[in-house]
Amino acid sequence: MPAKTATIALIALFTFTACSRDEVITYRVPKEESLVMPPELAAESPALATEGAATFTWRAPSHWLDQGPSGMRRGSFQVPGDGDATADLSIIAFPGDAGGMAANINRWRGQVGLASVSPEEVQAGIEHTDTDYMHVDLVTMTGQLGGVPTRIDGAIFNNAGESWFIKFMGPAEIVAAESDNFRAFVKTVAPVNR
Amino acid sequence: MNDLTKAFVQFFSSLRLTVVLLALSMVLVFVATLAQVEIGIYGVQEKFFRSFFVLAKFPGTDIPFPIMPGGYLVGGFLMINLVSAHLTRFKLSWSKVGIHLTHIGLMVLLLGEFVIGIVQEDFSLRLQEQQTLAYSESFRRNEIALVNKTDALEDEVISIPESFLTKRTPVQHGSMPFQVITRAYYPNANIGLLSSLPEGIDATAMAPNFSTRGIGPRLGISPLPYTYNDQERNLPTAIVELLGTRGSVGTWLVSPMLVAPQPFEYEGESWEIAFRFEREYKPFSVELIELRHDEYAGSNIPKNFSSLVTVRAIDGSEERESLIYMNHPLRYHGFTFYQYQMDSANGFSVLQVVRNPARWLPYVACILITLGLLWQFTYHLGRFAQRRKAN
Repeated sequence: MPAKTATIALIALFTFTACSRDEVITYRVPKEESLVMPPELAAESPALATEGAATFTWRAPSHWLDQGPSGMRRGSFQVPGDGDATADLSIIAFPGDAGGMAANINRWRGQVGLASVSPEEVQAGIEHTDTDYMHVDLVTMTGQLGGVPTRIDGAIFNNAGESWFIKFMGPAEIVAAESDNFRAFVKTVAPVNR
Repeated sequence: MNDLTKAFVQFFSSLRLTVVLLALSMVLVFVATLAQVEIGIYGVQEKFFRSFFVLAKFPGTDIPFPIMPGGYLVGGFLMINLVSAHLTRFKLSWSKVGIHLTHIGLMVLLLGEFVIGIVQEDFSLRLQEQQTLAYSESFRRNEIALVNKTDALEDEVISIPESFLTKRTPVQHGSMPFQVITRAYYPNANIGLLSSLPEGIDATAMAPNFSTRGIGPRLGISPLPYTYNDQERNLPTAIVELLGTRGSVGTWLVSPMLVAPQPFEYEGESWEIAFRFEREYKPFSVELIELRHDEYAGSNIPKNFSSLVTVRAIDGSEERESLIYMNHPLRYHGFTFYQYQMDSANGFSVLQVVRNPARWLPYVACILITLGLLWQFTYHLGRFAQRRKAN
């Protein structure tokens, strides 16, 4: 009898536990706008990101400290101010439009604690200028970073299917004092094979 | 009735089984209460009550073995025990009506817990102001989503539950031109750009990362202990390889920590891969019109959190506006939307979305049990009073 009871209990048990688990499912949804990685993260791989590097040259004021290319940066400078404070200038390029002008400007605005603005407002805030070699969009924004007034002067241009971003960011007084130097620097940016 | 059937009926209708099952459920509740310290409420519910067996693993291996029956097994057997005892000993008489009602109430209660365990779903809906979403996300479950973006009007989503990564089984599916192979899986991990790691972090001491495509090669993985804290969420990281008919398509590092899916092309089709919070698409969309976070004048004490939303049926048949705030959820299409969290500084609101079609079952059970007990006591009181009068 105990054997029989055990058999019955076991049968019942297996009937109970024969339950389905997770499975792969497929479904269709109306087309969604894909989120785009921030440009720093968007490039395929390091090898691709540095491909075609140094296709541009530039001349910087002598007191800017050249940090050379590194990681994602095609070029980089440290700009000293009074005391220990420094501002940072980076030159980065991404394939395509890197998510569009509005997304990138709003990302910069976020970095200095400013709220995002609409694409129309972004366009309205752009200063268009032509250098000897190309058309450049210039932007300026001042906000705060950790309670310190912080400013970004930026220059954006497209070349051979790539978007180039020159970002000059640091304490507001340094960036403001160096603003003319920055504009002069942007004008020196030239394709190597011109 | 043959011998085997008789034995079945005897076994399941015996009072001895009832006693054993009740004792087991007491042990289960006791052990689970102690375990709550270690694995939290959700962990206990899943491991002890919403399972057929409480499993442990052989030390040093991933091979599970049962240590005791789980809630579903004990509850299920109790249910069968109750039903078969009723069927075998059922007698229709006025003096037993109360007992029957009470027992039916108990059955509904047991069945209700089982049904709720299976059908209740809990999601979060995180909306930025002016944003419209037609899906909500799971609080705990994650999925690998492979999305075919080729079609101009619709995206085809292939959702692979996280459990497939745990088991490391290669995944193949009719609508996928490749196999998905898990090369590494960390149930909870931090990821960061190798170029901007905090000082003092040694990149070589991190978990091996052999991804070849997308953002992966520039990331470092540092596995974290699995958290059972109810206030925290595990953020897994996986390295998955896609194998096509002509060999490897690539190896990606995926994690819900990455803000966007990673695109790739395969045989002329555009795809995206992402490890994200499991989504459930709804036949309607929700737009967050305005969120409000009011404080009592002159203080930081919150007075009111509310979200003004518009709900629209996908087919355009219905549109309605609703204000969701504390104790004032929105009920729509079988879902209940509660105000859950809010970050007014960054302009987003999180709603909790609950679907529980069986939520009325415990009420029915309580009513039946109450009626049964009332009947039983009143009937016997009446009989007692009559007998006393006769004497």
